[in-house]
Amino acid sequence: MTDAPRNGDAPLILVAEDNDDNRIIAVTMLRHCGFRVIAASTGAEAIQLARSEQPVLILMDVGMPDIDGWAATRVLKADADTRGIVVIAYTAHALPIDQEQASRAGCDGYLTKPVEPRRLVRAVREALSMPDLESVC
Amino acid sequence: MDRDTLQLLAGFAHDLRTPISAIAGHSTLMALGVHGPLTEAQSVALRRIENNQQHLISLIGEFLSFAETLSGSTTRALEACAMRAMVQHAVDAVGSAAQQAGVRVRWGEGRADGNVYGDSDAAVAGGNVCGDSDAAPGESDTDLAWANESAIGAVLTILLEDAIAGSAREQEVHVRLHGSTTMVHVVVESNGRVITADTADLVFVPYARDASGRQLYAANRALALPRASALAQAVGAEVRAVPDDVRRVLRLDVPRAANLGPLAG
Repeated sequence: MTDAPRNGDAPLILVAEDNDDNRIIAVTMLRHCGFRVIAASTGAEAIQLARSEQPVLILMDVGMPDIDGWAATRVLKADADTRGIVVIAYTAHALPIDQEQASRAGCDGYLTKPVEPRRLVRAVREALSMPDLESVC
Repeated sequence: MDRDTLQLLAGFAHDLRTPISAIAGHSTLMALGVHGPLTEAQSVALRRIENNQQHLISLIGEFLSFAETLSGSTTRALEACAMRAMVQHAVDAVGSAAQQAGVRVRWGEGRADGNVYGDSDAAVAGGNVCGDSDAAPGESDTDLAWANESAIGAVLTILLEDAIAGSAREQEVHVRLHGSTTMVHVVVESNGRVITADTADLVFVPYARDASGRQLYAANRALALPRASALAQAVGAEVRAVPDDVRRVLRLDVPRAANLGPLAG
């Protein structure tokens, strides 16, 4: 699920999400706002793409079918080549225990679904310390 | 409703959010012009889709909150609650809703048999909400109740929203705080549908109707008062409907924190 970069200088984001709609919405919105985006629909694919493509940030769904988001994050954070990638957990679970679990797995941020597309972009920008946080894109 | 049934319904409501969220996400992309510009007619239709999707999400959210309250799955520790500050906070929180509805919210303190409402016109955030504090010096710590701040805050907000939802434009909602030796009372009065002796208990039943089949709740608020009642009971308080021929009157009774003097008034 790789994608030719629209802007070679733009940050590369990996969207790891098994739900087609959620993945399409996140990918479309991020691309619209100028990011380069690649996508994975399983945990194993996310780990593989993270290693090969070295995105700056991963939007990591927690409930993927093979390797869940927590396990995938632990794998990436344990690897010297990928531990610097910012990982934002992306989950429908909103309980405090879920946030604690995200933190324990090594996630750098936490987003609760449903995520409004503009809020998603703001969260990515904040995580990357990018300016112009108030604009739609 | 037993706990298994509640869990089933809560799970179902949770699952409903996934496709609704997808509808919302795709609609937002279209509205932002990500897929190209929209005609005026398409924009109008899209706004209607978004409004209805928001409505669905709020209904599901309300249902989930109600199911969560009834299931007792959340532990709510009892603590001292400064009721005066909490009422002020709730009044502030509904400020924009009141302004949108053209309803004025006034609050103050007074005896149960009095009409001592605040008359300060000092506007606060939200526009149409007026605050008041007639507390005499030294009374600041006499409003402490023993409950749970989060739960009582939610109950107060529901009672105020109920009053605003049932009021016509230009009408006023009155909120009054007073106390007895054992209880702190918050009374919310409005010009909404009056509550009779026959319907005083029914208003706390989900989707309640009176004997003639008329629904006893405002549009989209079928679970609001039932949830307020359940929330209050979960923390040792109680919401009562007070039969009145003229005004709609709801009262929250919260046990006073122990070893404190009576609330002024």
